[in-house]
Amino acid sequence: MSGNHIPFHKMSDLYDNEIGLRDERELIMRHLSECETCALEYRRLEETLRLCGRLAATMHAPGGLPAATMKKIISGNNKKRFMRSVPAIAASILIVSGAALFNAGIIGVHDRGDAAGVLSRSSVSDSERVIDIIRKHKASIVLVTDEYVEGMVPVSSFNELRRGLGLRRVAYMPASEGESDRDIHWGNAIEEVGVGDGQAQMELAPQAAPSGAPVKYIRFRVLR
Amino acid sequence: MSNSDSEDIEVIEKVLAGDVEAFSAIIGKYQEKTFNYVYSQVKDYDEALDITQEIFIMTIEALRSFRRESKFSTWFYSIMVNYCKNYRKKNRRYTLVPINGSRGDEEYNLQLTDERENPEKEVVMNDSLRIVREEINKLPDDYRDILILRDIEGLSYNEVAEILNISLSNVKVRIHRGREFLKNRLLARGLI
Repeated sequence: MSGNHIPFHKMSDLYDNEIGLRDERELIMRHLSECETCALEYRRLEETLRLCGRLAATMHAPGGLPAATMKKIISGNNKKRFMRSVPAIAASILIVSGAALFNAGIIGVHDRGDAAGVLSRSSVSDSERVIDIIRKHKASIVLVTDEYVEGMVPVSSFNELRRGLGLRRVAYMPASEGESDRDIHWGNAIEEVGVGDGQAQMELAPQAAPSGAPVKYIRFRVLR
Repeated sequence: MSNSDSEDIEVIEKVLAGDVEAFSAIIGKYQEKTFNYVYSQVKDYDEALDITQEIFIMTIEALRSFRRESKFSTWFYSIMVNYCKNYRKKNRRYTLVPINGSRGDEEYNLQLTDERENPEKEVVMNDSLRIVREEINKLPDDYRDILILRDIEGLSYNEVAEILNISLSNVKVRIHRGREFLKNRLLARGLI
């Protein structure tokens, strides 16, 4: 192999530990230690896959997903579909629903006030509050990460949203409909803590979106 | 049978015997991977949440048809992948109607909690990762799906082959090409 370079699929196999023959593996390893071109190529592959691996750690499903999904399963239209598919479960749904009503005080004498208990909010994190506020202000959520909640809101609703967010740190910039993420450079964003009446809109009014299209939306990040 | 698989089977038996609530253990176990995969397909947080829920609902409805010829996880991921494939097909031809509201279901407020196992561990979703996601999204479907299952979700070659119902050699060829494609794109964008 000394005269040639290692084909990419062999590097990929090496990364996955899929080179079965020990001799072949040793030959490849030796070549990597001698050939700078192949070594660089292999490092690029490793970096590519390292970045892919990090993607998995950045998006999180909301903590309430199992409870909310279970509630959908045992209520409404899904109950009919589900009961049809698993008849034995029908009776238990009645039991579960009954227990929920009992806990809510609808059946029985207790009044615990935690409606069905399925989605009770014992501890509400700030991310949850931020998402609630964003949803109440006609904004859509684009991304939730450990660092920020990102969303998009019509310009007309932005000031109200900013007031709703209180003293949280927010980065924002003008955006147009259908704008690609590639057009957005967060380095150019305005970053503030809190806002006065009309202040944000006045600053944004003369600007165009990064794509050059008319500004109809504000893309924002509520930072942790 | 691995521990993880026998735990799944235990839960499934409970559900089929009438303990519906037991299914929440399955949701809890698979929600992260499912949500991540769905998000990579639809690129919208709220929509990804709706679809993730719908996938779990479809799964519980189909539980009786799970013949235990494969691991539960493999069977479940097949549902997930096929759901997203159908969704993409429909979405190319029709305007999307959100799942929420279309069936008259009530709105459910999902609680967001800090999911990090170690809050001190810094996990940064920076612009580099945004570019990686963008470039993965641009890959041809055949390469992208496999790359997500293998290199983001961390499934084995065998699992990917079973889920997508293609040969192991086909999986390997596609993963090699997908990786090469992505590596070249990241190189062109100055990320690596």
